[in-house]
Amino acid sequence: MEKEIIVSAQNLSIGYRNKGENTPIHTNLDFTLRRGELTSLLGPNGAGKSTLMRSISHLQPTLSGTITLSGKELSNYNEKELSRTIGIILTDKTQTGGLTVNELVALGRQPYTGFFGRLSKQDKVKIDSSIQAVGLSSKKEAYMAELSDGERQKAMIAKTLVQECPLILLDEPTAFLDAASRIEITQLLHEIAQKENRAILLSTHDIEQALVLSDKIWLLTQQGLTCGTPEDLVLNHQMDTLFEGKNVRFDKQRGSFSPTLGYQKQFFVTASEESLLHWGVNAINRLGIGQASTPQGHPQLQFLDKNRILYKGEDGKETTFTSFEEMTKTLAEF
Amino acid sequence: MKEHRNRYYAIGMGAILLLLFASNLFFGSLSIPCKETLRILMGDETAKESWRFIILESRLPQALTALLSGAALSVSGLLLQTTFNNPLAGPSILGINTGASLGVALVMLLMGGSIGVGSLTFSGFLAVLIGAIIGALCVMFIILLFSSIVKGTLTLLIIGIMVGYIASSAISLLNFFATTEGVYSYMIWGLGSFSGVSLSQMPYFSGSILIGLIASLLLIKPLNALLLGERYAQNLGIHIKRSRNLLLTTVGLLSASTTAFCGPIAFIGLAVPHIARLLLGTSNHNTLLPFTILTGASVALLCNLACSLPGENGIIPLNAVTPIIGAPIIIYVLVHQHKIQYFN
Repeated sequence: MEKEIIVSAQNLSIGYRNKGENTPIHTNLDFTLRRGELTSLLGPNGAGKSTLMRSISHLQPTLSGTITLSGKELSNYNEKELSRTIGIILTDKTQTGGLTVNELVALGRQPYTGFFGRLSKQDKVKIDSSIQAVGLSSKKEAYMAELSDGERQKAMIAKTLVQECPLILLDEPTAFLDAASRIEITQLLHEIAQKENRAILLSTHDIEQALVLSDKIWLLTQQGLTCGTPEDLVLNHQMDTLFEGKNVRFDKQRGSFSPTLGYQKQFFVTASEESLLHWGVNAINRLGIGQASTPQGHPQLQFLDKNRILYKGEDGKETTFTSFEEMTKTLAEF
Repeated sequence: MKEHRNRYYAIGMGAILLLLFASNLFFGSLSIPCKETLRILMGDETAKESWRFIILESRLPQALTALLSGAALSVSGLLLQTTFNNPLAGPSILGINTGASLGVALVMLLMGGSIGVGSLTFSGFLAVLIGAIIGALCVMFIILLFSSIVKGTLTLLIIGIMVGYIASSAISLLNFFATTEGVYSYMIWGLGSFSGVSLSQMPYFSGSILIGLIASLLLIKPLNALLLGERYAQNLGIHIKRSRNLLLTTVGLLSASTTAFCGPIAFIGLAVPHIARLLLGTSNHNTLLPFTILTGASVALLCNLACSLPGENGIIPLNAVTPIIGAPIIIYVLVHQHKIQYFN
């Protein structure tokens, strides 16, 4: 069964309006976001990711076309309705070090509380369960300043959860995090999208993670927006368009970008197991040596295990290396 | 629980406030026996007439003025720090006090102390008050204008200081062309003092301060949202423009009323919010704002007490005392900012 569409855009133009003059960054954009799906927006710097995010969150007016949110045009929403429909997480600097996790998450209830911001019993229950959902229950009374960067981001996510918005937008939520927290946060968002049936759109530079955990990928380049399932985009060579003209190539096997190196020499490489082959090729690539498809006319490199590497030159002379370090040192001198 | 601890802090600060208020009534440059003071305060009319006058007509209004001014300036500082997302904002730093001073100078030096509006003529202190409010609001409007153009908060502070300088030089020019008498009274006013509000003016003074304080308490919800920054606050349904205008008008009312009556008082607005945050540890305005009111009132009463230290030899100007208390706190905060949680 197809999931419920929450956002759709037709013929959308986004960009800047200055003194009545439009400077479009993108025109003719069409897209949809569905409940229960995690969508990752990928694109090089300057492609307009933030502009697109801001346009969808109504922080920036669109130039033409329409965005429909839950069956109603975005421009017809008032502030109160918007605050209950779209929750955002930005990279803006905040002054929240002196708030406890509880107090920070409670701010997310503001769209529902009265003039004085007093919390009802139900509000408190919702705050508690959101803090639990992001796994911060043990730190409820801790000040934000006492948390790690990853935990702070989790608290912000909990704040967005109590806002009870069907749509959550996150601008580079993993930008300042270490590798472990990045995976953890992306996984958490994936889980929230499914369990709580929310539509989540995040922009990120973390392509590997995005391809693993996103239900949909949006590729935004100067040419426009391409949407699809990660696997379709990878196998249809769409990922290659992401950094076109740059000196990088997309490795379909690994699901990541790596530098394009010009190879003057080629070796025929074999190995006893896959990870050994992968890292063996990695090592010779760095030395400017490519991988040959046939043994004919090429030196051969045989990785028996990590401490036994057999090298056979074109002249038939054989050398054995006992470590990668020894191998790279010797090969570099050739 | 942090809430419990904060309650004790609030009770403690309340007790300090009462103690300082009483001290301001019992001690002054003229020594009056405590027993007599108590008798006079209890309404005993048989006490010495000159003592009665000093306590009821001078010390009591002065203590009340200090209490209200301290609260007003501190709340102004807190509101500015949150609104501009900058812990170093304050009514004197951003040039708001200088703007108010310029308004006062215009009234005192050019118009001879009164403003004519149509057939109505406000004279004396009301004219000064209106001049101060208009001056403060003008500077605030300029700062607001720049805040939408420049991004960095440090830049905005420096622009505030520059606007303050321009207002200062306008004041100097006014002084140059004014009468000696006018210059003298303006100079005395500029030294700062809590003794400028007479009992008959007290209703106007306390009225405008109380309106400002109540308004600030009603703005706690947007203030808390603004801790996240403007775009987050907007996403939480806060009407940014309206909230900011309300906040700045409140600041204008509070700091201008104080400046009009007591002169431009430095450092209380800047330092007290930091004292309050350092003591409580929280940035949550639900507790921070009321606590800042108590702390500000206490600090001002303490400063006023310090002013009368020389005894019968005279009174120290207020602006000679406030930096001694305020500046070390700001230096402490700046040096330790990486360890202080509300900065992070």
